[in-house]
Amino acid sequence: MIDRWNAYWHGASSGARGTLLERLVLLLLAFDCWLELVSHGARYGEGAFNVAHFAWLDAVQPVPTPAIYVGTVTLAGLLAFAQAVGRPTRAGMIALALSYTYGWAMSLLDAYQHHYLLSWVLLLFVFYPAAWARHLSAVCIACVYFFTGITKTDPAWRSGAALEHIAHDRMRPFLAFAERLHVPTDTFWTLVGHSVVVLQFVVAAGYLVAPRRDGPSKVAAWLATLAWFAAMAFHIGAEVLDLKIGWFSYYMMIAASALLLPRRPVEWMARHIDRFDAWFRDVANDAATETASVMVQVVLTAAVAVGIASSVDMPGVTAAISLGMASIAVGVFVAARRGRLGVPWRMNAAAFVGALALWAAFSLSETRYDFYRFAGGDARKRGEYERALEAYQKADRYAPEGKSRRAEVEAMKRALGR
Amino acid sequence: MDPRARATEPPPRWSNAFIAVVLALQVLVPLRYYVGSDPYDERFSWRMFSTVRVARCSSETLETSATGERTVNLSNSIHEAWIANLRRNRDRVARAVLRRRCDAEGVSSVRIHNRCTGPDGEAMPDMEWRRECATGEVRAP
Repeated sequence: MIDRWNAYWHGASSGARGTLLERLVLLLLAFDCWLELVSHGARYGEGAFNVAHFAWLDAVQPVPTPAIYVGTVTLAGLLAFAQAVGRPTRAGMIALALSYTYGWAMSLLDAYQHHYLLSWVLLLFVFYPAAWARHLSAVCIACVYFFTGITKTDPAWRSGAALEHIAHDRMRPFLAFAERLHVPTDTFWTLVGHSVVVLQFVVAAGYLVAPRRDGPSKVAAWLATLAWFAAMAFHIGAEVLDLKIGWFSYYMMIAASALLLPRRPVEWMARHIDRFDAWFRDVANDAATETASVMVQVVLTAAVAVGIASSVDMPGVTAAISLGMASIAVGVFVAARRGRLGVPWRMNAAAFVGALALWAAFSLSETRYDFYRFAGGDARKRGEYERALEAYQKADRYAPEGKSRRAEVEAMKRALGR
Repeated sequence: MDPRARATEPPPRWSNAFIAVVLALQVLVPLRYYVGSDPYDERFSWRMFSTVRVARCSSETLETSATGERTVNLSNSIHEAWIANLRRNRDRVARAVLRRRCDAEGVSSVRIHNRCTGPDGEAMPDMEWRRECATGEVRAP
């Protein structure tokens, strides 16, 4: 029994799977935080009302404000990006897991279940590249699919009624295709409903055998590959049906590809990350020759990053970036004292690139526009026209072509008698 | 090399205990939904797009004062997303809204009444939370 336990959790499997999973999830998480989560930040603290995910959190935290929420998830994004590029560190991963988890736990306004899953994944990343942590990631994901499968055994799902209820319009082409094959409508929905249940259990089984996937077992290898197809089909389907589950599908497609695919393509993909790491390490070792110059670079990077954060014009971002850069500076200082100058140089450079990526994410996307137009709409609804005007003016400043908020600005001015 | 650890290092002694705890949580936390009393609190249970989640509910908040009972327009005081939470029968949100409304002067009781329809179009049991402002006593479904 103990031998089996040890073989399952501590047995050999390709470390490339962990590299691929960790780095791609971190990269996606950074942009998820900056592009998807931040845009909903204006709703936090409206009317000084909040309910956290846990009662004890309500007792100890202030009512979250847009600045607290946006700052927290922006910081999480920066930590994720810096580690995706500059290689993860244990302290950095702990900071990321905590900031990201607090980002969703602070309020029931964020009730996406996959945010909770990501907190588990980030916690396990702290222990990467240990094989047992990688294997435990796979089993945690297996539990998600297993319990989702249990949920879908409900009669309303098996009959297809639930799916018809949430995605009838987008299923129409498939329904039309089934009709051409003379499949009765009821049979079509029942088939689809049942197939969703089967898919969940196949994927769960695939993740359960994933830790043994690189071993001699052909059954494990086949089941994992089958599960990869099932997972990809399910999540591509969820995106086609526009099920509004944030970026969940993309995370799960990354996880499936890293943990379920055969070893060779995974190692091929991870090799590119290893090459980048080696190149970055060499650059860092060549550039970082003196402690004093590295420390000066850290101060300069921090100044530029805080300048970038201020120019982003979002509440909480400057504070978050200042805090992030201060933490990185502490890490750099500690590493420099140990005489490993290449590591702090790399951390610093990754943070600098992270600040630039953050600026690009906010400047080139509709995040700010969405944030301020939602803020304007909410304030307007409550009759707070001064705040609404201010928000609409900013929304208009960041509006993409054809989405001007000029009319709303004028309406608010009229409401204020200006 | 990864700055955190060498992949070839033997697993630390505590790793088995850690694995066991995480495994137990992965199983027990979702199971808590099935043995719990609140079918609408599906958090941490991996019940994405469950029949509970896809139910459609309407929610009405009513408060009683000296002039009688009147419907409250909550969107004047809290964000629309909280009203969506109420429509999902979130118990802790309902209790917090009741508490908040009881803070208003002259209000003696507040109730939230939800009517839901399942994905099959069948009506589901009504849900009602009621708080007596003077005593703080709450009656929940």
